[in-house]
This record gives sequence, C-alpha cells and structure tokens, in this order.
Amino acid sequence: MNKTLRDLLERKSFIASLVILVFFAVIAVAAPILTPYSNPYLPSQARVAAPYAVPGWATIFPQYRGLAPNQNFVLSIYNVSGGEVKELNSSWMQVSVPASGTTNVTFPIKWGYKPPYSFAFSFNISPPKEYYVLNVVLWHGNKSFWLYSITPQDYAIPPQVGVPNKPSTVYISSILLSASNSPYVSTLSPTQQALSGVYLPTYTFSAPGVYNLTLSFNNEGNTPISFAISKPTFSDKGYGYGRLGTDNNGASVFAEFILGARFDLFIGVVASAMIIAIGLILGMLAGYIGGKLDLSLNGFTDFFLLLPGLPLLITLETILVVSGAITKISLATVIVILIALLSWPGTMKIIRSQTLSLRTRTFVESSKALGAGNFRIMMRHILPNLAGILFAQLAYDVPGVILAESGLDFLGLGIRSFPTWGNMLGFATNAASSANSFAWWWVLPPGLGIVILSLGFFYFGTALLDVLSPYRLRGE
Amino acid sequence: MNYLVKRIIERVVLLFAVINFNFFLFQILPAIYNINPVQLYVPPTYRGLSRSVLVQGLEARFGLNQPLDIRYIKYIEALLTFHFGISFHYQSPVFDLIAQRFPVTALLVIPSLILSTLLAIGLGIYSAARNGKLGDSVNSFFAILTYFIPAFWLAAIVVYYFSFQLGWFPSSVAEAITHNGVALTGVDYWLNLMKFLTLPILLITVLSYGVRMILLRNQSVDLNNSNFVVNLKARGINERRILYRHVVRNAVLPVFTRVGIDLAFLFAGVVFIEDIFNIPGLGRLLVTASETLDIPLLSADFYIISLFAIVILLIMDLLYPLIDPRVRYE
Repeated sequence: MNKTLRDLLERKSFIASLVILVFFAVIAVAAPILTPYSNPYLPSQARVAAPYAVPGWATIFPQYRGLAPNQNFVLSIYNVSGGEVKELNSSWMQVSVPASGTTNVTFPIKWGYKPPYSFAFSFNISPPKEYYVLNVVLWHGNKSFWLYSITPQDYAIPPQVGVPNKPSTVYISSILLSASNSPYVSTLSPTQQALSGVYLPTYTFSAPGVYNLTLSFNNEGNTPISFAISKPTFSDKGYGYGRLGTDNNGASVFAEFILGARFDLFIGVVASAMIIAIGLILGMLAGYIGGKLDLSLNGFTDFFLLLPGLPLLITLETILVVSGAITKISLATVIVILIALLSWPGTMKIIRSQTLSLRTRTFVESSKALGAGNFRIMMRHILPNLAGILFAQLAYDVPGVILAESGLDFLGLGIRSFPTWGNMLGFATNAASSANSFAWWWVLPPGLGIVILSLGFFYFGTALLDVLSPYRLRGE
Repeated sequence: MNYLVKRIIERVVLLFAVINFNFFLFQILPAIYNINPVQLYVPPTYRGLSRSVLVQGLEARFGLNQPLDIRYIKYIEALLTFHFGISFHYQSPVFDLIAQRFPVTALLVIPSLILSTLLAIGLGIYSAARNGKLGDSVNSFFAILTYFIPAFWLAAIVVYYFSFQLGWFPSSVAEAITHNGVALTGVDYWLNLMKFLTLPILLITVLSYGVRMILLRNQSVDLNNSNFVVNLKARGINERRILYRHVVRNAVLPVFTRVGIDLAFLFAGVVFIEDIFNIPGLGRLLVTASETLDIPLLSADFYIISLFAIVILLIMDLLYPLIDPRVRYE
C-alpha cells in the first residue's frame, strides 16, 4: 500500500488532479458556510445587488472603476442647527425642538462612487404626543432632494407619511419612494415618476462627493417638544458585488457556483457509482461465464450503444414527467437514474474485456482446479483484481455524467428551480443573446468548473489505472 | 464471405431489436403510464368543439385509437416503406422534415469531420514523434481538454466575441443569406452561407479531434514498442522512415473506424451547436420531437439514425479489407 501511495504521489498529474478534486470537494462540503444563500433562484434570495453587478474585485479594471459596492453603515457624525441634541447612548439621541422652531440635524455621507442601484435610510423614532413635521432632505452642494415627510399618523396628508405615536421604524428606500410618499418624486415628470426607483439613485448620488442627509424637525406648537431617534443607517445596493458578481436577477453568482458544484459533484459521483455497479455486474458475468451469456449481454450492450443518448434521455424524461408517474421522487433523482441507465455500456465493455484477460490467468485456473465455485472465484479473484480499473472507471465516468446533466439543464429540460452549472450556463447564454450583454463573471465560472473538475477526475483515474492495475493494463 | 454474411445478419438483428425497442418506448410505454400523447396537443381552452371530441378526432387521424398489435404492423410497414406519416408538432410529413434537415446537418458534419480527422492525424503524428517530450505532453493535454469542454459553453462565448463583438461572422442564417432584406442567390448565397457555417464547423472540429488524436498517438506509441519496430530499428532504418512508413500506417486504422462511428452518430449529436447557432438541423428536430413527444417524428428519427449507423458500420466492414490488407474475410 505504501508503495502504491508513493507511486501515486510521484506523479505530477496525480498531485494536480488531487488538488483540483480536494478544492471542489471542500467547496461542496463547506457550501453552507461559504454562502448564506440556500437557493439563489428563489425570489427572496435574488436582488442582493444590482442585476449584472460585476465582481467586487473587478472594480480595479478601468471600465468598471467607481462602481458602487454594497454598503451598510450607521451615520454617527452630525451637526445641529436651531435646537439641541443630547446623546442618550451610543445609538440613540434626543432632539429638543423649541416652540415654533426648527431643528436641523445633518449627517454627512462620504460617497466615492458612481450612482448606486438603490439606496436606503432607516432609523427608529419615538415621536412626541404633539403635532410635528419631520422632513427628510438629501442635499449635495446647492441641489437638494426632499425625499420624505413625516407627521403624526392622524394628520398625514400625502405626500406626507404618518407615523404612530409610539416607537416605530422609518425606512426610506429609493425603491419604495414614489409620488405618493415623496415630495421630490412628485415633482418629476410622469414617466420618471413611474420609474422613480431607477431615476432616484442616479439623480441623488450623481457623482462622488459629500452628500448630506438632513432630518429637519419642525415644531408647529407653542411648547417645546423632544424626539428620541436612533442614528440613521445608510445602505445601498451597488453594481459591484461579492466574489463573482450577480446574475440577471441580482442573485449571487458565487452562491450559484458553489451550490452548483455541490450538486454536480454529488450527482456525478452517485450516477457513476450506479454506472459502475451495472457495468461490473454485466461485464463480469459476460467476461467470466462467456459463451451464450456473453454473446447476449454483449449484443445487449451494442444495442444500447446504437441508441442516440440525449434524445432518448429527453424522451424518457418527458414520458415519466408528463405521466406524473414520478410525482413521489424528485426530478433530480429521475435524471440521475436515467443518465446511469443510459451510460453504462462503455464501462461494461471495459470491465468485460478486463475480466476476459483475467479469466485465463494461472491463479484463476489453479483455483478452478482446486474446485472453487464460479461465484467464489469471481468474488475472491476477479473482483479484487478489477478494483484498480473500477476506481479509475468511476473517475472517468463522472465527467460524462456532469456533461450530460449540464446539457439537459442547458436545453431547459433538466432541473430549473435550483442552480446547477448547466442551469447557470443556460440562463447566462440566454440572457447574453437577448440583452446583448455578456456577463463573463457569470458565463465563465460554470464552464471552467466543468472543464477543470472533469480534467481532475480524468487525470485522477489515469493515475489510479497506471498504479493500481496489477498486470500493467496499459502498454503490454 | 461467411464472416461478412454473419456480420450483416448480426447488424440486421440489432436493427430489428432497435425497432422493437422504439415501438416499446413510443407506443407501449405511454400506454402503460396511461398518457395519451395527443392530449398534449389539444389546447386546454379551445372554443368550439369539446376537448374530448378533438382528442378523438386526432386519435383517429393519427391511428392512435387502434389496438397495439395493429399499430405495430402499421409501424413496421411505415418503416419499410419510409411513409412515416404526419408529425404532430410540425403538421407536415415526417419524411419531408427529415429530408429538409439532412443536408443542413451534412453541411455541418462532413466538413468538420474531414477537418478534425486531418487535424487529429497531423497532431497525432507530431505527438507520436515526440513521445514523452514536452511537446507531446502539451499536445495531448489539449486534446484531452477538448473531451470535457461543454460545446454549448464554448459556442456561446465564441458567438458572442466573433459574431456580436467583432462582427466577423453573421450571427444568424437569415442575416447570412440576405442582403438588405433581399435573399441572395447563386454563388453569393453559398459563399455567405459557408461564411456563416465557418464558426460552427471550426467549433465541431476543435471539440471532436481530441478522441481520434489520442487514439492515433496511443496506437503509435504501442506500435513503437512492438517487435517489428524494434527489428526495424535494429536494422538501422531511419527513425523518421519507421514512423511514417510503418508505425503511422498501422496506427491510422483504428482512427478510420472511429471516423465511421463518429459519422454515424454526429448527425444526431450536434444538438448544442445547432441550438446556439440557431441552425435548423437534424439534432434540433430530434430534441424538439422529444420535448413535445411527437411520436411519428420520434420513431422515424430514431429509426433513421439507427439505420444510418448500421449502414455506415456495414460499409466500414466492407471497406476494412481494402484499407488493411491483413484483414481478409474468409
């Protein structure tokens, strides 16, 4: 065993393939830790950033320079005019507004990017019992945007928004602002009002610079009032996101890639194991027993080799899915089983020819002479000697399964609701042809993943075959 | 001659088995699962006639209301006479559909098969001559790499860069064979069509040469260690002469067998290239038929593919003694 291991480790191709396989295995196993998303195709897990956001690191390239990343931070620096602000604790503060007066609390925001996809402010407010008006204004130089206007609930007249007289959260987002709740949006033209979610970020955060968020507290009564508010949080969704950007729905491509790797690796290994099981049973029986059984099993295999694989797979899938005969098992299981049932002939042929050569070896002859039964010989002598080729074949079959499944997904006939590498490629190429935009961060990773993982399995199998086969299957 | 007759009988039996399997797949299996394929073709909300009347009408038209044994006889009859009936999906004779698409796919497959074989032989000889050196390793690595490149992935990238970005090639057939909205004719038509087909042909070439190249290389390497080559070397014959006159000539034989097999199966196997380039070929016809469970088209298409494969394999059997004089059919 040590010698085998040493033999294997001496091969550069084996080391390289091992590195590849370990890398993908780690990704697959650690997927739940690496990404918070369980299925980025769900609407609830999409829109984590702008659609077609480039990878965060790609903003170092000139054509993507200045694209905003996703940010989320508390605005803690502020200046006050016309009233008093007392810090209650690190996040809450008390704003006192004199009778018939106005207190402006201004929070500067340093913005160093191009316009974001969307932005949002949120803060908690505990308003006084008296009447008041709180205006939220964003300004930059001499341009100001009156985004929002808050009054007590009973007095709200659009575009004012009423807030109940108890601690409540105010959430102002460029997506939710409209002519009915935002004074600024209601000044835009009707077309722009309809698309205010698109126009607002580009009008407000139009260029890098310092922007100011002013909370303007107006006291309309004759007695001083005070508010308790939390420091506002600013957040934005940008055009640069994460390790691999986003797809056309704004879902994380990195999450899709990792979950796809997990899924593809899993079905690849499971289907290959099934292929090996079928190929081993038929191949060993045909090769060892020989005669009429060999002829018929071999003919059966030739027959399967003659059928067009992909159309047959699609037809069987259509029949099984349309009939509803498979409502109890998932589509993924059906596809794995169908791929395994249609891909074993090549493996069977190899195992058969190997068994044929083993059958005539002296150790088999001698144990036959000692009166061993066929079953015992197959189990004790043939099978252990096939072990090397079986492991190699397992590795060789995985790429085929992954390619077949990806092809099915690509054509839109496989699993549609969950990210696989094939689905990613299918959706990415469809989007590229319709929008004429080529998201390399979306198209390249799954394809490269398929190629590299397949190469890893191939060289792994080749090294195993070279080292484990007892009689030097290759060359002699 | 005995051997050849045996071969032919074997192949015909195989074809018969395929025919029966197809009947099982397309007629018996849906019956077992209680699917009426016709029902997929009746719109759920069709105004006028009731749904069941429509289904009955279609069943009568396509002969699906008959018992299975009569359908089987008709099915065999159809295969023998090549009158395959009318396609559910396309609403036109199946034979015409296949006949229309066959030349399209042939235009794709045959040039790329020739090109990729030449490429495989050239690079295979290069690798064999440099066995074990860096050139061989790199060359073999790229050949193996092509096994695993998903055709749809590479095709999508290539189309994007060469057709959309650089504009070197027309991006669709319609764009290729028209000029300012007027259909081209004569030489212009063919030139522009071939210009459009250049990319897919090159892609199929690059994606399919690997298997044959590795086959040629491994055969050559094995032959290099065989006794007759050792003998030739001992006689002091020039290495180059041994390689070209003795090793390659023998190593090319399995490559030709492989070309035959590829020719038989590529016709149905260029689905992805046809899909990306939007070429109306046999592969897409077949995939559409499978998606829509278009039974007349499916059974005819499967039959034609198997028939084609068996004919090609038989031709290979006949040609083999001409290529390899050691093989004699006694």
